[in-house]
Amino acid sequence: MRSSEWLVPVGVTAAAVVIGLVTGLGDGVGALVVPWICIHALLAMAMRLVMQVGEINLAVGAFYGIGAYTAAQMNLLLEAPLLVSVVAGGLLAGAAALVFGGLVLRVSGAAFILVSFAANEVLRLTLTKTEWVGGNSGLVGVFADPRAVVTAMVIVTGVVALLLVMLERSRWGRQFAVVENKPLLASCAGINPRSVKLIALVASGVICGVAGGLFAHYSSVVAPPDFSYMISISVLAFVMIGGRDHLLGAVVGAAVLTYLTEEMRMFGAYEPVIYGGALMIAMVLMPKGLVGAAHDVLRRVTDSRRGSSSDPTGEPSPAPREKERAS
Amino acid sequence: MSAPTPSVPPAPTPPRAGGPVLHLRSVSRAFGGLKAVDDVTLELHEGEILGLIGPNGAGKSTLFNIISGVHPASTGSVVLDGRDITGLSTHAITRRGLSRTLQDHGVFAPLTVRANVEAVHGATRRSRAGRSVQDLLEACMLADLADTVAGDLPHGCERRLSIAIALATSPRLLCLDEPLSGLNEEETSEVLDLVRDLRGSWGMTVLFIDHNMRAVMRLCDRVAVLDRGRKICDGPPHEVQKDPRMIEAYLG
Repeated sequence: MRSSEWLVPVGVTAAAVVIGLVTGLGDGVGALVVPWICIHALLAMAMRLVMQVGEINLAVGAFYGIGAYTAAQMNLLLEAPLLVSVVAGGLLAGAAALVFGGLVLRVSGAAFILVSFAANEVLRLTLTKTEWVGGNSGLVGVFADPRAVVTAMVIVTGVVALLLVMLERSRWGRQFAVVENKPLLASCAGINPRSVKLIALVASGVICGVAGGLFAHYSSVVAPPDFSYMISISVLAFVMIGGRDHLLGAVVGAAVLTYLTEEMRMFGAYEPVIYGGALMIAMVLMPKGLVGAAHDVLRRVTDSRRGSSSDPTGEPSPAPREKERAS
Repeated sequence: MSAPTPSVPPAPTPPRAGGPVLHLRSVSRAFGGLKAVDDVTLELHEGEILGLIGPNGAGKSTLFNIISGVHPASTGSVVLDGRDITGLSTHAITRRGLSRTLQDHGVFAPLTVRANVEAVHGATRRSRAGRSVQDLLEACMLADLADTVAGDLPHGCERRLSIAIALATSPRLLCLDEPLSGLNEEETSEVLDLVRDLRGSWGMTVLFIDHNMRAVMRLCDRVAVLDRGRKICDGPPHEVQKDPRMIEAYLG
C-alpha cells in the first residue's frame, strides 16, 4: 500500500514528461486534447486541495482567470518570457486567494460554497466592464511557441502532482486530514483550523493561477466567459468522478471527462444532455469515483487470490490481527 | 526532558510557592434561562490531580468546555499560570499550555498511532519543543502499537492514545474528559496508572472528570463536587466522601 502510493505520483510524473516531449514534438490527436487535460488536471488538483480541508471552493474559476489575465498582460505589455508570466500569474492568484480567504474563511460549509461562487461571478462581471483588460472581448494576441507551452503544461502538471503528494504525506497533510474530519480535535491539538484552511486555499490559488497563465499562452485569447462559475463546477465534477480520496482521482477525472467531451462533440446539441446524464450515472454508481472503484476492484482481486487458501470469505480482516498484537 | 519510567512509583510533587496553575474566578454560564454553571470558583495547584464529579447534568462538561475555550463563560474569568485565558479560542488555549481530551473524537481513526501523535506534535512550536513522539508513545505504553491504525485499536489503547495526543501539545495542565467511560476494569487501572505516572515522573497537573466515583476517589488528591451548576464541596477524597452535601446530591 505504502509503496504503491509512491509509485503512482512518480509514474504519473514520468508519463507526463514523456507525453509532454512526444506531444511537444508531434501534432496528432494528443496535441489537441493533452493541453486541456493538463489545465483541467491542474484545476482539479487545486479544487481537491481545498476539499482536503473540508471546503468546496467555487472561486476556482476566478483564481484561474486572475492567473490568465496576469500572464496575458505580462506577455502583451512587458513581453515577458513564458515562465515569468506564468509564475507571475500564479503569485497574483495566490495573493488574491490570501485576501479572499482572510476575509471569508470565517464561514464554512454551504456558506463558503455560496460566497466563493459569488466571488467568482463578481470577478467575471467586473472583467466584462473593465476596459483596460479588454472588457467583454478580453485580451487578444498573447504570443508563445505552442510546443513550448504544451511541453511546459505537461511538465508543470507532473511537478504539481508530485509536490501535492509530498504535501499530503508531510506534517501539513496530516493536519489537513485532522482539520477536515475532526475540527474539534484539531483545535484541542493547538491547530487553528482557519489558518490551515487559508494555507490550503492560497496554495490552491497559486495552482489555479499557474493553470490560467498556461491557458493564456496556449489559447492566445483570454475573455471573461472562460472564467465563469461553470469552470468551477466542471472541475468539481472532475474531482468527484475521478475520486476525491486520491490525488490520482483528480487527474483521471480531468483526463477522462476532457477526452469524452472532445469525443461527444459529434452528438451536437445533445452533448450537454449526454454529459449531464453520464455525470449522474457515474456519481450514483461510483460514489468513490473511478479511482476509488478501481482500487476496490483491485483489492478484491488480490484479497481473493491471497485469501483463497486461508480465508474462505476472501474479506480483508486487519482488525483481529491488530488486536492480537495489542494484547 | 527525562523519559518517564512507568515502573517508578508515583511521588506526589508538593505545590510550588507560586500561584495556582488554573484559577477559575466566579465562572458562570447560562443557556437561555438555565444556569448550567453557576458562580464556580476553583483552584488547581502544580502537580495536583483534581477530580471533578457530580451527578448527570451537574455542569461538569459545561465547565470543562468553558475552561478549554469550546464555550465562552457568560461571566467570571479563567486564569492559566497567572494569564487570563477567558474568551480565547480552543487552539489558542492549547498553545498556552492547557490540553484536553475529547470523549468521542479523541483520535483520528485513519492514521496510525504514531501518525496521530506526530500530526499533533508537529503542529505547534510549543509541542515541538516538548517531549519527543517516541517518549510520548512510551509513556502511554503505545510504543509497540505505533504502526497500528488508530481505528483498529482496542478501547483501552485508544483512550491512552487520546491522552498521548493531548500530551503531544506539551501541556502544563492536562484535562481528561471522562477517560474511563466504557473501559473494563483492567483498562481502567491502566489509565489510572498512566495518570499517576504522568504526575509522578513529569510532575503533570491533572484535572480529571469521570463518573467512576471509586476510581476518582482512589486517584485524586482533591475532589470538587458540582451539583446543579454550583460547587457544593471541595477537599480531600476522604472528607468529600463523608460530606452530607455530597451524599444529598447523589441520593436526594
